Amino acid sequence: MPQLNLLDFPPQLVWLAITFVILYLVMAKVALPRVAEVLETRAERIRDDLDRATELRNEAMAAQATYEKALAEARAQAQNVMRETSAKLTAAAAARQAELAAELTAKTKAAEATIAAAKAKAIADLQSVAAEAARSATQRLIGVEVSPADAARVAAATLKERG
Amino acid sequence: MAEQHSPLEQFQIRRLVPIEIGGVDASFTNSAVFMVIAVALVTLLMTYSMRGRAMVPGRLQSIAELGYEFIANMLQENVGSAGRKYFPFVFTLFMFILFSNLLGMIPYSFTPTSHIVVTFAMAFVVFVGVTVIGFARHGLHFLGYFVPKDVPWPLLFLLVPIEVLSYFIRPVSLSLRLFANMMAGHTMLKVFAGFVVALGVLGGWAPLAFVVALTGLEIGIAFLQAYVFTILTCLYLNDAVHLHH
Amino acid sequence: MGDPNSPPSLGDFDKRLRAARKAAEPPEAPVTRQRELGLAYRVAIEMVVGLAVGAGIGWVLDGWLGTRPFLMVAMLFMGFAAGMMNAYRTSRRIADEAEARDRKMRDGDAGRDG
Repeated sequence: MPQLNLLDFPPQLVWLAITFVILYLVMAKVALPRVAEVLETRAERIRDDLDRATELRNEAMAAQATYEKALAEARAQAQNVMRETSAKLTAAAAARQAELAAELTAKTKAAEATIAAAKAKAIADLQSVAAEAARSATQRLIGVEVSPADAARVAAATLKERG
Repeated sequence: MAEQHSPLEQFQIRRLVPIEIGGVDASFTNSAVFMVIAVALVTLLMTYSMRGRAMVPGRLQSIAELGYEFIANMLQENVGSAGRKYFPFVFTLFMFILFSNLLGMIPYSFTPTSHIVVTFAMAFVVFVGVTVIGFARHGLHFLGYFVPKDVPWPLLFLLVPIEVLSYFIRPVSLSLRLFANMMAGHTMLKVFAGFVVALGVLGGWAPLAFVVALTGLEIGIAFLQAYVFTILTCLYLNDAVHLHH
Repeated sequence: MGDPNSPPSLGDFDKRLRAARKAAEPPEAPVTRQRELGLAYRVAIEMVVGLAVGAGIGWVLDGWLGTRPFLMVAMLFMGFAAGMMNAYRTSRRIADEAEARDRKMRDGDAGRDG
């Protein structure tokens, strides 16, 4: 086996030491710090970006909440206004109706009074006409002068008797 | 056939540029070539791909970041934040092994991690490092690691040597596992690739399909072994840092 | 309602935002699970290594103390035991970790949805 040739050991060991130490120095002093720097920067950048994204998301969520709140408020306000208006309208209508009813009642009453007055006057007229007719008939038939007061009383009584 | 290579031929060390420093043979070998390539590729991956420091990573940058996070998580989960200090080392270890393993998948290439010296050297560094960290953090209390709790004391005469032995076995099994996997896998690939060539266009299709399937498996093993070596390093590190089984 | 021009609802946006947050969490490491095969393999390697290292140490001690071959035999068995112990411990801890990761993933999902 060529691997066991002792004469070949020294040159291999010498060059192993040389190459390994060189590689170690290059890695330790140049390459690895550079990789570490790049990885660190990237990790930071990604963390920052994600943080920003989270922040923006939170902002968006806050904006959405504000918008929804404003919407709900506006809706509530509109409902209030509507309810108030409708109440006002209902009240006005009721007042108008009451007014109308009162007016009608008053008119009816007035009409009834007029009618009653006319009736009373008609009755009174009828009475006086009847009394006058009875007095002149009595005078003509039996020549007795009946006083207008008596004639009126008799007429009233008669009218009363007959309805 | 003129060149009937042994499947083990690929593990042969060849001195491309003979160098000697202070009596030590430091020749630039084919193994060194692939170590240098591995280091260059890892460096390229981890620096060139990150040059833009892009917020949205491209494909290469994603791979680099994935590797970084994979090892960082492994260390965090197995050692905790006390392990962060050792991250560059663990990361280098993982990448070095992974790229060495993967480079070996290329035909005619060489796999540095298929040599026991290389894997043992890495395991030994981990072993010594972990032991030093253990003693540095806990002083002589670190020796308590070898004494199991809630055990009647006569048993300790048996258990303490076993514990010590198991501690010293670690670098051996750690390195042997990686070495054996890489060597076995690459030898098998070579053997079947040899069949493909030997049987030619007429009969070579079956072994070729097998080679393709095996290559897929070997890529998986290249990753798995790099992972196992690294996670065991993390577990040993955890023992040394937190001092418990 | 049903208007394609209407902006997506906040709930939808919320869902997407949460998904994005979840995606931004550090990704879980891929879970590597090769339990059975890995375990058998690990036990084999640890066993062999334990035997070899135990025997080796015993052999050296034997040579030093002149007790050949008793310490080597004793250490062989101890090495075997140590290897098995190593295999058991590491596989249990790797399994524990994989399990903990699974649990974390599940809890994480449940927790975020709650």
